[in-house]
Amino acid sequence: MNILEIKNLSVEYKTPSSTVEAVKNVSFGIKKGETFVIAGRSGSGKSTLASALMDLTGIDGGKIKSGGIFYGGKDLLKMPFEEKRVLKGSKISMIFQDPQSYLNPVIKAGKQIEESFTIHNPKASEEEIKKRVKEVLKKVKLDDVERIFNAYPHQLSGGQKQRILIAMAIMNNPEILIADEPTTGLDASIQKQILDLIEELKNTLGLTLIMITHNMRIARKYSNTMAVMHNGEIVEAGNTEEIFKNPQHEYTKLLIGG
Amino acid sequence: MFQYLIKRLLYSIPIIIGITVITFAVMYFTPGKPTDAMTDFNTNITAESKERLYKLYGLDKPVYEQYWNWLKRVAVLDFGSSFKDGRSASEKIIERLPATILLNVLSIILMIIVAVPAGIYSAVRKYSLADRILTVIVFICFSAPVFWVALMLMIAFGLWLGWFPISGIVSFDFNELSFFGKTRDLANHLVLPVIVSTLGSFAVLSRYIRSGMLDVLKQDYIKTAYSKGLSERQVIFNHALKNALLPLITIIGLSIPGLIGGSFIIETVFSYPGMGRLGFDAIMARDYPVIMGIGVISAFLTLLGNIIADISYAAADPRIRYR
Repeated sequence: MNILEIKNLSVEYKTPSSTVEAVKNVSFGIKKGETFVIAGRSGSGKSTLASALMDLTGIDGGKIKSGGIFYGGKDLLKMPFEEKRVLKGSKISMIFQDPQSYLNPVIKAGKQIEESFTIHNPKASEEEIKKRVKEVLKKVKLDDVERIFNAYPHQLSGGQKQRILIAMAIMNNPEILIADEPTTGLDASIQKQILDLIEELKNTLGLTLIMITHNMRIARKYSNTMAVMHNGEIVEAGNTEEIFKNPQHEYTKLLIGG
Repeated sequence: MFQYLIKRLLYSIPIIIGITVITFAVMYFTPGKPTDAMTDFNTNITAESKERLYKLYGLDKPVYEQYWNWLKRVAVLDFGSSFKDGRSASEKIIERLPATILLNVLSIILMIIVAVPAGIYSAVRKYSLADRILTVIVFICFSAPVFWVALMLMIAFGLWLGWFPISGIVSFDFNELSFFGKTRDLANHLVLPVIVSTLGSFAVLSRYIRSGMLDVLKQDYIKTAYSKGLSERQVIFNHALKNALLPLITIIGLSIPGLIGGSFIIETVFSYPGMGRLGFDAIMARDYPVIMGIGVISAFLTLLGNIIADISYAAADPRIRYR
């Protein structure tokens, strides 16, 4: 049973002089509980695809041209904004590449973390909020919580910021977590910690994980199923191990080789 | 922070002195002398008494000596006496302050109330019909000459419709009115000057807010906010607005000098008894002490406004810390 089904999805970016189709007629399904990697080089459309799943296409000036994203039998693209909004951050969450810029610079970290909870639990009491936030911060292994809570993002390290973003994403026990290059912009020593943390959370929380990466070693180590994207199209998809053992498409061979 | 403040204040001293040198020089080399009204326009004057007058006002000395004498007096906060009526220059300036502050505080408040929502709306509904209409209005406000707009409004609302008085700050019978009547009379006189002095700054500020907001709405943390499940309203008001309003601090800081220096054009067109009008009259009469007094105060306030803006910036944006 697929938890998420993408059908014939096309996303385009229009500039005054040209139209770029960043995602071309892409279809695939994601099984509940698996780790699904979308691999490809930069410019392949993989991040555009991830943004589309989270309904963020419009912010970058893009537009979903056609297709459907089915979750629980309903097409997210045809859903009214309000219905979709309730799903975001509670059922489907996302973490991003380069945590530096994904936290609001003028709001204290603690307030941003709490917001993830209060937005979906508007009637929660002070104590409930505190309790849940504490629980989640423990899950993402953030210590020095007191200081971090009262700090502005620029006073935190990249690893701390990414942990905060992960904490915000898992705040409401989502079913699906989309991780868009979650280790880009982090020190090499922290990259593994973050990936292991995501892997651990996936197992303990029973998440379905969609991970975007250009790193084939990460893809092989962490995923069950993968799709290889090239020029906005999925050129090959299937069981990760099989693809690595027996790549069919030239581009896949190139990625694995390099 | 405290050290930074001291440093900034010390840096201001040479700047203020520089400004006074330039003002003094421009004033001195402008054709016409303060004594002209009494001498050149007076057919009975003798060359002798003309000399005496020059001597009386210290105009016979070379320019650098005149400046030096002025600076010595200002150092002990003595701005001298007006050449026109012999009253102390600082007294003349202080008496005009309340009217100008009243006019400009009102117009800054009006500017913020109108420009901030207009700018935000324009950004959030970019390229919508409302955005386009606002853009046209802003360009008209920005490019129409203030004195012309003032005259047009005076004709329309003052003469044709007769809604508002077109000059001064109160009516002749002001003192006989009740408290309520006084307030009403004052408010009526203020409507047109406040509107006219708001137009230009409204245009600038609303554009700043619009472009600031557009820039912020493209930032990565806005994506985080949306993916948390926030509504557009919450994203705009809780996450984008504070970042987008940072330029507002600069604009308000920059309008502090105008707050007290007043506007020469608006106050003159509306015969409004403020600092701008005083400055205009002083320049026309070559009333050196008053011109210089206004110059020093305006320069001081401009620099003070800049410092206040910088400090408020640090308070509003946690990323900025001054050394």
